[in-house]
Amino acid sequence: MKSILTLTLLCVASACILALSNAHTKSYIQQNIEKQELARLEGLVDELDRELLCEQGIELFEVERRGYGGEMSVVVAIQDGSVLGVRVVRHSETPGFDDVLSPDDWIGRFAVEELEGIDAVTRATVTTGAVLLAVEDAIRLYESGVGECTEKR
Amino acid sequence: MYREALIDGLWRRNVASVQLLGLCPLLAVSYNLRNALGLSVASSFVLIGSSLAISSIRTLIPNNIRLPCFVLVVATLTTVTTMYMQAFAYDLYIQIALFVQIIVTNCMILGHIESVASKTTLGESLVTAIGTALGFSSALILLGGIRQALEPIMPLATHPAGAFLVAGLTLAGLNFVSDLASRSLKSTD
Repeated sequence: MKSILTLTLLCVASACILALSNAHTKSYIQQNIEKQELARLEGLVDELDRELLCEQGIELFEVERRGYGGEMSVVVAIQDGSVLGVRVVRHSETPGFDDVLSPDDWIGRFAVEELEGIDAVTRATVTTGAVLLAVEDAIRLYESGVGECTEKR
Repeated sequence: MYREALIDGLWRRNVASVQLLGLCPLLAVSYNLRNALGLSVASSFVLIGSSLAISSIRTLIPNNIRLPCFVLVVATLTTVTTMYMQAFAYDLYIQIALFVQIIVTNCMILGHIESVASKTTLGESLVTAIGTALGFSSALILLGGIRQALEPIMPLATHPAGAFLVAGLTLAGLNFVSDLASRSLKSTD
């Protein structure tokens, strides 16, 4: 009986401490994550204002796909029907295997090569396969005309 | 007595170099000084905090459920540390996130709680915890410093394999020094 009581009280105390520190840090953490996601878009487009991008004919699509370690969020920039570049802004892939997602690695090839010429990478098949699927999703979205620019027109 | 406890933690019973506890984060994070410092601070906070908490409620914890209680306290403090690092030291957190999260399972902390904090008064367990934390931090920072300094001449030093080499040689060096010290003490007797 004493065991149950002690453990319950201890759990309640822990939960209170966790709730308090979560309430205190939540907004800071959210800011940090947003800042990092923005930083990951660097080099993809010159700026993030959607209206200015639309004037240049660039549309951004954010697509979710399941990678190896969970959902990943892929941003695809499409200009006049061709892929301008691809960035992964959020993912939970295994550390070390996610280096294919860094802009100077595999994912950077979308900016310079034809889509047909890009294959998945052997040791990161699921990760890179998910990115390829996400790019296809984005192209499909673009072609069906649900992009923000088309909506405004 | 407090002085003894500090010297014990820092040198004679150093968790890393003598008891060889907590080697996983020691080897994994010590590839540069900054990460080593970051993990030292995080581990020390959890060690000292949980030591204080356990020591102050030690008479209330029934013996048969002491381990779940210890782990609960350590896990809570580790999670709090994780949150605050994410909020205020995000760049550092990205680098050592995994090893901050597994402070929960660091045998150095559980060992200290089981053998000291759950049996002694608040003051004594605080001093011993500080000693242990200083010992762990100094080992981590020493290893981080050596590995970072070795990088230009031996790039291997910052890789995992290099961690084993550098840690092994450093431990051998420390044992050699303490051997010499105890021998010279004996010869003066």
